[in-house]
Amino acid sequence: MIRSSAAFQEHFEALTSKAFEALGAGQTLACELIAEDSQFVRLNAAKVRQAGQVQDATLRLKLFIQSADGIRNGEASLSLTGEEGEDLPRVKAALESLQKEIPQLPLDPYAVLPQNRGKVEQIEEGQLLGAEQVFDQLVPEIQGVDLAGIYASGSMVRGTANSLGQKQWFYTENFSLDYSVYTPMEKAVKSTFAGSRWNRSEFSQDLAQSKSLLAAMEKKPVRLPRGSYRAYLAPAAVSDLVGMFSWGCIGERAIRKGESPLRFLRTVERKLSPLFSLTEDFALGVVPRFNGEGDIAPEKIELISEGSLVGSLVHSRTGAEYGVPSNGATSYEGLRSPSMAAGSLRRENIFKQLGTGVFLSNLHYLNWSDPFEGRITGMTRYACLWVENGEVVGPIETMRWDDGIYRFFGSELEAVTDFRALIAETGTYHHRQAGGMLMPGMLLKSMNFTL
Amino acid sequence: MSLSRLKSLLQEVQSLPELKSAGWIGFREMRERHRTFVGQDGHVRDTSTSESHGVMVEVYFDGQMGYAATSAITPASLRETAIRALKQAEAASRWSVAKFGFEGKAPLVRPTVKGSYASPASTARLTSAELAQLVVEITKRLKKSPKIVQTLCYVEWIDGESRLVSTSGTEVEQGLEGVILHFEATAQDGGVTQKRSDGENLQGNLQILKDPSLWARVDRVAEQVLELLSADECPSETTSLVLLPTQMTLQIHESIGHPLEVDRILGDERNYAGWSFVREKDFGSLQYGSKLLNVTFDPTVTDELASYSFDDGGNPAKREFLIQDGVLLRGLGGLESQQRSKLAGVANFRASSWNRPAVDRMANINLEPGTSTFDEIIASVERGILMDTNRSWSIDDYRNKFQFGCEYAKLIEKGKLTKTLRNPNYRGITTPFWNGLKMVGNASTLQTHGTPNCGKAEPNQVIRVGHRSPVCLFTNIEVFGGGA
Repeated sequence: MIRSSAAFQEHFEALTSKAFEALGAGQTLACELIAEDSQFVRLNAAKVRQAGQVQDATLRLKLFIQSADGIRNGEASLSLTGEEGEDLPRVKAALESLQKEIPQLPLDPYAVLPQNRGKVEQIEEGQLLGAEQVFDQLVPEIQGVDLAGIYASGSMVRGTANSLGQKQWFYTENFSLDYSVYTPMEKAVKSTFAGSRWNRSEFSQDLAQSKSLLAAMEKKPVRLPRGSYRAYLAPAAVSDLVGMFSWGCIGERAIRKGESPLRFLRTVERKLSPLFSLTEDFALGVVPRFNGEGDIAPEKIELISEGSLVGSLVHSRTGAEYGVPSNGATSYEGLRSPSMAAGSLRRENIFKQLGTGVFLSNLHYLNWSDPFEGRITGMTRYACLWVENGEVVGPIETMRWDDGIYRFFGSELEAVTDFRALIAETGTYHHRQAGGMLMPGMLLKSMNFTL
Repeated sequence: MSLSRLKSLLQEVQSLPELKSAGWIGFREMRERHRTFVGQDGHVRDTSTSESHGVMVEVYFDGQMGYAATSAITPASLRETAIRALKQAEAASRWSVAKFGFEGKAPLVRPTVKGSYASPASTARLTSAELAQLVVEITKRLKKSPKIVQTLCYVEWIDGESRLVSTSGTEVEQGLEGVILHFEATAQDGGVTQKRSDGENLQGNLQILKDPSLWARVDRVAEQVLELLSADECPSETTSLVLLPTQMTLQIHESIGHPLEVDRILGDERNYAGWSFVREKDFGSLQYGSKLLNVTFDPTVTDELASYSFDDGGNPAKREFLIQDGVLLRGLGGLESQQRSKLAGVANFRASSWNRPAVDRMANINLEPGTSTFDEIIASVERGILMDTNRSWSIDDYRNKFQFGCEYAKLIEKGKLTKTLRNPNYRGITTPFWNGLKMVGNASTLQTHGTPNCGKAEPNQVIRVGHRSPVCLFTNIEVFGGGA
């Protein structure tokens, strides 16, 4: 299998250019490559549970056939071997199958033909540990603490090309160690150490900080009765709440169809807090600005400004259906690189201003309890503490909460921190995912805990 | 690829000098093709065919398995991949969380087996044009009123195969065919929005797409979503709760399936989905639910989504009771977990694809039928709520405190179903909830469901699981409605 960015790029170009040559009249082809060469080391009890490597490359072909009555389209994707002699016949066969099948499909009134949006290239090479080095560099460092987690490392490729001449390329080499450490009483602290250059001493510092937080978790746990409490949400917890905006919420389609709780912002029936501003910010550099179809997003898309809805994520198809401009969103119309504006609450004042309430480092298993009204339920997880008069009393027993976005980001939002943390995307469903969220902490006047 | 071709590629790899120190080598080839058709508001939105194909190579060295996977299924690439897997095993073996034993020619956790499996043969075939037309027709039929603002239909036809071969002589070939059908309607009136859906997750049977009864179900979804617009909000109270199989599937999945996964109990999963309230000492003694609760692990049921003859480690699959008369008997632990925990387990060591290592997963987890008819269950309730079709799910990292929501509910008053209710939710804690199981429906109330999207593990994996359940009645459950 291919390893370097240049070799991947060459193979992608060789396959796609030959596929473009095989197109007939009225046919436009858009291609996307998703590839990785990754190592995964799963850890439990500070030892290795599973260790391995994955080389994977998938090519997606989307063919549009335009005729007098309109546009029909269809997609095919296939695994690649990285060898032209093996891959080319399969790419041609997949294309031929689309060419044969698509004319039998119904018309798609909202299909948007690809365009040539030019050439984009973003290549970030890193300095990663070798596949065997990680066992000597990382595992000795974590001895003496009960640690569980996943180390993922390697290269990721996203490329698009279409028959009109567009070419886009994103290649990155990075790693993440998503881990948690535990007390004997099973209280835990979570951290993610991520980057493009492994630095053992920086990791030692990160782990030392986690261990020091773990000491606070040794205190006697506090069982809270159900009720409303003042709450501070650390940036990782805020990222979970903001993540819910990707689930039928900030997309133009969901707003237009009346499914999104933000429809009340669109009609100005409700408003969020002036302290809350949210932007899709590709300047963070963690994901490509182009989506799978090659549409390029603006570098910044303002979504919510001081509590008012000023934008949304619009996929090209939604744009065609409603006659509004697309802004390069994915077909899912979810956030890829969100950034929430900082406020004025200083780190050293968090506990003092919280006074008496709960400090929440992380949240867990969020879901809409009323999707159309924006009510979310979830759990507390990891380092969540009961604080009285600005002093930590002890970790809380896990609590369920059930509360709404119009309270979290509206009536109950008292302050936003003046610092933000980049929460790295560590998801690996189907393939390693790129991305991250730049989030501050939030202080809430009250939050509803229900079980 | 044929089994004999895969065997010959393995033999080539085995003879490499670089792999001389490997104690055992296994190849797991998986190919899966998904044909997906999505209709929306009377049009085709997406049609796609995706095929994923690759080989996972596992190598055993000094008690440790190492893996490497590749989509490059060529002799040269497989040689290189096997060497990478060996190097991973060698390097990791100095830090193994557990050392797995070896007997004869194979690790104890990778038995030497031969056999095959195939999904029940489909009685129907549909062309792409027919499937595309079907999703269009369903979304048109769902739009029974201008108040219905969006209709969707999703059909996925899965066709896959997997092969296991090993240097100890394993030869397993399994084929799977399945269908996922989902359709929904969203309605809006004033500030109120509601959604109603229905669907199937079945192995083997495309016939469901040609069954005339499908259209009655489509009509029911459209009628009920309109009904919900003017329905009362679900009240907040502690009451009796009747769950239909469309919600029981989620209840079983989240509060029985996941907590019984032995790798969770051993802590492998605690950095991701979480740990479990179940401990190793609980097997054989914990009164998980009332005496009416009987739950099986059953990969032998022909139409459920996760039926097979062997798991991905080669362990032969058979039906086992997990919970009998309410007592916890057995966990969902494959051979690796069985060796680590010394607990009895099942054949559930499964991987989502060729590019992920197998871990403990659910397969088909079924709640066995009781003796009550649906009418008897409803008649027994003085006041309560009946809930249908999952809409929301959340549970803590130990699988204790849950909150689930449904699309549609009915009030039960004096033994009769009365008013329709919207935004029904309920919450509880796992073992008190299952100990409140008061009546279990008989075989006439059984339905088969499941999900194609069960998420777990690091690296992350989504896998198909099946759940079959009758209608069940629970007592003293906290229910409530929606709102901001």
